[in-house]
Amino acid sequence: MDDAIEVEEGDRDVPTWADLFERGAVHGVDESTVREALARRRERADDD
Amino acid sequence: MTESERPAGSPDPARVVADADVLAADLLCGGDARDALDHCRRHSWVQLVATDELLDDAEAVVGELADDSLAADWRAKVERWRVRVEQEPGDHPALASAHAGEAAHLLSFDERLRSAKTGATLRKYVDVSVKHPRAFARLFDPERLYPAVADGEYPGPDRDPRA
Repeated sequence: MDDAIEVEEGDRDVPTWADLFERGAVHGVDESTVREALARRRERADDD
Repeated sequence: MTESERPAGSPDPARVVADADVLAADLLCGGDARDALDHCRRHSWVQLVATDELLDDAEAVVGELADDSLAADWRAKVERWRVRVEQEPGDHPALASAHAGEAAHLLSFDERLRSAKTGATLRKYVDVSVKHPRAFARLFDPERLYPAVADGEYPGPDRDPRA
């Protein structure tokens, strides 16, 4: 890794973004599905 | 213009809010959301601002569409990244984050938030530019922005966006 790129000590015990993205991709979710899920959640919150 | 020189009440051009749909899409889909947030991950001086409620929304969406383990790990990661601000109960989490965090940019897939009519109304309360992540990814120019937030020449990216 380039010396100019910073890796903070506290970040070593949490997953990397690369790991998270790899795990996220296997679910095959598209943007419209994400938008709809958020819209449903906020509609429910508005109804409460 | 550095932080100390920014007029009171004006938004911080280096502060970004990503609505929960953008945060979840960054994790699950990639594409425009990831391209946009990679700008923030690459630069330590670009700050992601979010209330707990905004992260709650994104975490719930990830849990619903993927799994709870991924949602929890994502939350742990993003907690270390975001600048935490508070909101009033019932406020829109993304707008409240932008208002409380004095963020200049709000990224959202929600067409209603990005409409001209909504924008005109919003500007009475929150001085924020609501953008589709694709537009932010294309328009964000760190070299031009850097002198507004720090002294000296733009040093280039200072973080690994995949770390």
